Amino acid sequence: MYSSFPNYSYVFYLTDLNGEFIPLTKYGTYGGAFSHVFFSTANDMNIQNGYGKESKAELAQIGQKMMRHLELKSKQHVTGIQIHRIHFFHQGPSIVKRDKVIYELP
Amino acid sequence: MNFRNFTYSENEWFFMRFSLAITWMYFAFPSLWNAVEVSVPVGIASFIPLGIFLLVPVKIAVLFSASYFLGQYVYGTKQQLATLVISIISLLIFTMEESSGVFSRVSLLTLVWMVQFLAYVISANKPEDRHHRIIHASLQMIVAAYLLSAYSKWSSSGWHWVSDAKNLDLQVLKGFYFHWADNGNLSQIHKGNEMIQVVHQNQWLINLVLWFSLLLESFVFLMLWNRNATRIFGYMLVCMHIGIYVIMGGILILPVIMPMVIFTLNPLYRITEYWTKFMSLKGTK
Repeated sequence: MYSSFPNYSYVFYLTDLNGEFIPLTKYGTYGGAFSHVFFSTANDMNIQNGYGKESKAELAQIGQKMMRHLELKSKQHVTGIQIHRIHFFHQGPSIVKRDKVIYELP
Repeated sequence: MNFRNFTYSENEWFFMRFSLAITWMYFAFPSLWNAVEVSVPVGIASFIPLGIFLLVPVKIAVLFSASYFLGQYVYGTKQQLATLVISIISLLIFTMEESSGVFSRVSLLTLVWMVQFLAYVISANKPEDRHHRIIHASLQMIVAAYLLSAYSKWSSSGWHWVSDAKNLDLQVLKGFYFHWADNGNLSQIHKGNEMIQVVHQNQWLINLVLWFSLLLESFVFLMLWNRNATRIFGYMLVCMHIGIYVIMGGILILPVIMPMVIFTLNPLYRITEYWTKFMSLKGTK
């Protein structure tokens, strides 16, 4: 199990360009694995990650690699989708949820 | 804590081998067949071109070889060679899988094959108690894995691991949202919100469960005392994993749980034993 409980967690999901939800299983992957790809890619690119500290440009770099992962897993050309990141963290007694598009493929 | 406190029948050993072979196939075969990339090389993938395993003819050849040697292992012939070959195949397949960026926590499976091979080599001249040594070596590997897990908690967080659990709710939410991201099932989000309410209202119970997990992992080496201790720790570890599954939104680390269950509780053997007893009782009536 977790070796520490940091004050953040990330969830990644997909939508089309209009913001309509797309299941990850459509591209042969799932939530836990897609999240691993984010962290492995960020570490491989020496990008400091977690706590929402990645810059917009860094997120786009990682997002591009995540999109490539989707293409390879689904063996199809991927177009017209956005990768979203939900960032949960504590602020005082409440849990804050921030949703951000980290990469978009027109 | 030596292996002489552990004696197992040939039947028990057969069911352990059979269960381990099936478990490994369940994880390794899809990993190899579905592999599409080696984009984030880890471990030996940094200097061995594992991309060759992405070719379909190579995948088929590896699957056939692995099936052949698994058969040899289960039926008790050429086991030393079989464990060596499967160790190597397992290392290559799972390194390739983790080099795709997905961390599937499958390392323990490879390590169990490796220690079994080493135990076969070391006990080559002691055929009379060989399988006891191999089972004991596998148990030692499982203990090492849980001890490493405890060590990572002590070294990353120390005593604060439990007090930091106020942030556990973020990980709980994440687990349920992962399922929602898979298929868009909104009930997962509702379940996640309900679960964090439960966590908030029972923080003392959560802390107690976390203490139990931390101490259980820290003292897991006691399972090497004798077979009774092994069984008791086996049941306690199963309880710990069920707790993680319920609280964390369905997180089940099967590649760790399965070898642990096989070598501590050997469920297939138990079921067969109970079934045989049941049938013989039925026959006597």
